[in-house]
Amino acid sequence: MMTCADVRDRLDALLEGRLAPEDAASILGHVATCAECREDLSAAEELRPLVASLSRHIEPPPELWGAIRRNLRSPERPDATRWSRRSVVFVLATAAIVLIALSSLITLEVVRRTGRSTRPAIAVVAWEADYRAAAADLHTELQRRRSQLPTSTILAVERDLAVIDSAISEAGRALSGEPNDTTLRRLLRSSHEQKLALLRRAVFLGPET
Amino acid sequence: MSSLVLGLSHSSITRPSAGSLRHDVPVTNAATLVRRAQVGDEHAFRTLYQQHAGAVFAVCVRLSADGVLAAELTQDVFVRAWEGLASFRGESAFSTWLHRIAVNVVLAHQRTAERRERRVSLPGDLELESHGVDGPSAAESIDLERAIAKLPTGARTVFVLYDIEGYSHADIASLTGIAEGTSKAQLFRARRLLREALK
Ligand SMILES: [Zn+2]
Repeated sequence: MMTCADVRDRLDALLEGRLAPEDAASILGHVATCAECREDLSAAEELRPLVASLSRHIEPPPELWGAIRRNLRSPERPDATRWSRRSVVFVLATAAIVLIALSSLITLEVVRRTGRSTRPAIAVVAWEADYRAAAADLHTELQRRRSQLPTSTILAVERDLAVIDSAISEAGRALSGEPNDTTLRRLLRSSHEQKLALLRRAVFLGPET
Repeated sequence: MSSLVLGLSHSSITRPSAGSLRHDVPVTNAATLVRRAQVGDEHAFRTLYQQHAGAVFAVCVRLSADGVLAAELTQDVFVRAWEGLASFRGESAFSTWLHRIAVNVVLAHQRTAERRERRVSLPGDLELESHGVDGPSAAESIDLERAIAKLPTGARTVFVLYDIEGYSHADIASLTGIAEGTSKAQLFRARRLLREALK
């Protein structure tokens, strides 16, 4: 069984798409039933695009190099000592603070775009029907190829499908109680994505695995 | 595919690479610059400064939550780097080596500094519209910087190092002296506090 600590350890990998479908599915299964982990997931998810757009470079005040240079000990200036820095940097304070703000402004366009694109606008019912239809097609194809697949593969796929299906129904149940919860919506959508990924893998890579 | 999880994986490719190199910096091999600086060439060291000051200042500002202090700390970082250049053997990238000095300088300052209440205060009269960007998004980004600055020190340190600078919990544990489990707990605390602050 997944514990909350297991989920926390894998949350970032989940959001970065680095988890195998079956691992992702068991996390999503836990998250659908655990309000604490759901809180952590949605906080991480909401912050992600914002944090990614923060600049990793903020230009320091232009006068700073001069202050540094005067403090570099060299053969020509053996007695150079660290003189009081505070007097210099105080006058630079406002510049530094404004720069923080400006560096954020540079990235606004990105934030705006990623921020909006992560919010699904279509009704749950519509996209869920699409996922179900796509899964059904893949499932039919899988049944057709069943005889070509090793028994171990079929068993593994069926076990993983059972995990994902239970995550889907958990998320669906939770969502019917709170239809406007965006985290639950994304959870449901993501569980469907996991199911499709698993089915595609089984269908297209089947005989080799 | 699993990369579609929650539809967010695209965000990693939109990260801007803000001004790292200035146009007047001559294109010189990093190892050459470091070697020249190691034998006392201030011009080479100045070029290294121009290439890396933005990253160093950014981490100092965000860790210290104080623009004035961050300039001081950045100065300290480069003076120490200059003095410690002889010990740099090139096992890691110069940027990695320097970044670690920066984190250590800030953390050492936090450990010894008297507990003065310092906060980044973004000017209240900053006019977002005058920069030609639309309101809500501008506010969103600045609000995040402000919210990070307001986090309790422990949570802020872990959030900046893990989520912004990409250190692992193991790295953070060895840099700060806290346990890995504490680092994880602080990260989730920080994220929840930020989300709350941004509501
Ligand atoms: Zn949990």
